[in-house]
This record gives sequence, structure tokens and C-alpha cells, in this order.
Amino acid sequence: MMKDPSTKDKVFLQLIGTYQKPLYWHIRRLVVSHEDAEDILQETFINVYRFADSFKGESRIFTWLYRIATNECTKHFRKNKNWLKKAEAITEKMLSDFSGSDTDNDEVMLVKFQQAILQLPEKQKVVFNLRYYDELSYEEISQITDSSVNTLKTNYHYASEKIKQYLIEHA
Amino acid sequence: MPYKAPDDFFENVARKTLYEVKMRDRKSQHTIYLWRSVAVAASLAAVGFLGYFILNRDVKPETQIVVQDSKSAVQPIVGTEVVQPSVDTLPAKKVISQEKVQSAVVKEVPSENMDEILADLTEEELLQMAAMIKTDPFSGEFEQ
Repeated sequence: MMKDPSTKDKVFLQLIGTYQKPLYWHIRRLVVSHEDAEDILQETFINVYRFADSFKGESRIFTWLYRIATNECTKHFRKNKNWLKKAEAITEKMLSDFSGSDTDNDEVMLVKFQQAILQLPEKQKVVFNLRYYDELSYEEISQITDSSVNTLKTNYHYASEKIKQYLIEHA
Repeated sequence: MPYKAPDDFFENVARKTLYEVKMRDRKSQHTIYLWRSVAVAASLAAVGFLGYFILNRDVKPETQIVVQDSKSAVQPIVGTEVVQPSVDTLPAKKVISQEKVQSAVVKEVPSENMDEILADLTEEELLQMAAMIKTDPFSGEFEQ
């Protein structure tokens, strides 16, 4: 329906309405900064609009959207070498905000959990987030990342181990 | 998850994104029109340039007189005999001086210089040259 010029805009707006939240949080978990996530989300949907013709329907729409979003995040990491320092600074600030106030220990643990995920290599980070937060199957993640199911299972296993180790060391 | 999004963030995503898409479309169309105009202008300039050179290339060459030296007579390719001018046809005593002939030997001579050379020649020398030209296999007046 997006290939039809008369309905393209209408369908595009519907698509944004349906997928903006899951895509935003997927991007936000990877890049941490809200401003960066906003830019990448917009770029993702702009690419969806421009390359709507290239979607052949071989996969589901949301795996196509997630794939574009993940590729945009990868571009962001390559373009901005200091993105990790920026992300760590954000999480450190959150921790310092929590320590001053009457906050639940759970909030602090959540931040430390995010810090642990930030330390992972890019591929493990993506796989872990998609599996743990978005609860996608390995087959769906395979369509997004273009990796085999076995590789993804291995990546998820190593990611889990590293996160556990980090949390033990920084408890 | 510890992260939070601004309250009205998701209400504005669709509107902002569609606006950005249209702006980029417009910009890319302007760029395409600009490049097309540049290409057309460059093609016209190239055609005009070529046309100018083609039209100015046709210049008529000046008429040149080539006088053959009796000593360095060129053998014809076809193998016809070169007929040397007989002694009877030539004035007995006077032979065209080497210097004068060499200046008009088988090479292209500008017409102004040729006029001067011809003006310097005496009547006898001119008759000699005329006889030579008559027997010249490459001239149109070859008499068999």
C-alpha cells in the first residue's frame, strides 16, 4: 500500500503510529541518549518512506523496521566514536541522582544493569536487548541481524555471562 | 528500564517525520533540476565550441608553384621514362644557375618569394624553365 502514491502518506503515518514506541525503546536501549534516539528514530522512518518500494514482503514488517533501526544505530556508533563515553556519563548521572534521593534499590540496579549491557560488544548488545526486552524469537532476531540462530544463541549466552560478572563486581 | 521519554514526545514524531521527509524530497528535486540545467548548459557550450572550430577550419591554401630541379628530377612511380630536355630545345650557352633553381626546387615556396625569383630570371632562363615544365611528367602539359 505504501507503493501507491495516493495512499503512501496515510499508510506511512499509520506505520509510525504503530511502531514508533517499540522502535524508539529499541534504539534508546542501544544509544542511551534521548536526543540521539530521537534522531535515529526519525532517520529510520525516513528510510522506510524512501525505500518502501524495496520491501518485498519476504519478512514481516516489524523485522524489516527493526533491521533498518539497528543499521542506523550501527551507523551512529561508527560516526560518533565517543558515543560510549556520552552514554556512560548519562548512566553515571542517573546513579548519582538516585543516590541522593529516597530511591528504591531496584532503580539503582536497573541503571547498573544498563551499564553492564553498555560494556558488551555491539552484536551481543543487540542480540541481548532483542531477546531480553523485546522477547523476539531467535528466528526473528536472525532476520534482523542476518546471523544464524546458533550464532545468536552463543552471543546471548556470552552476553548473559558478562552481565552477571559485571553486576557481581560492581554490586 | 530506568530511561524516560519526554511526555509529549510520541505525539509529535509522526508530524515531524513527515515534514522532514517532504523537505528532503523538495531539496533533492531542486538539486536534480540544478544539475540538469548545468548539464544542458555545458552540452550547448560544447556544441557551440565544436561548431566554431569546425566552421573556422576551412581555410583555402595559397597557390604554390613548385619548380623541379633538373638534377633532382623525381622518377615517376608508374615507370614512364623521364624525358630529359634535349639540348636543341635549350639555349646553348646559358644554363639556369644552380642557386636560382635550388631556391625553387621541389619544396613549397611562398608565392611572394616565387614572384621575386621569377622577376630575377632572364628571358633565356624562363624559356629553359618552360621547356623543363613541358617535359615534367607531373605537370598537366606533358607532351608525348
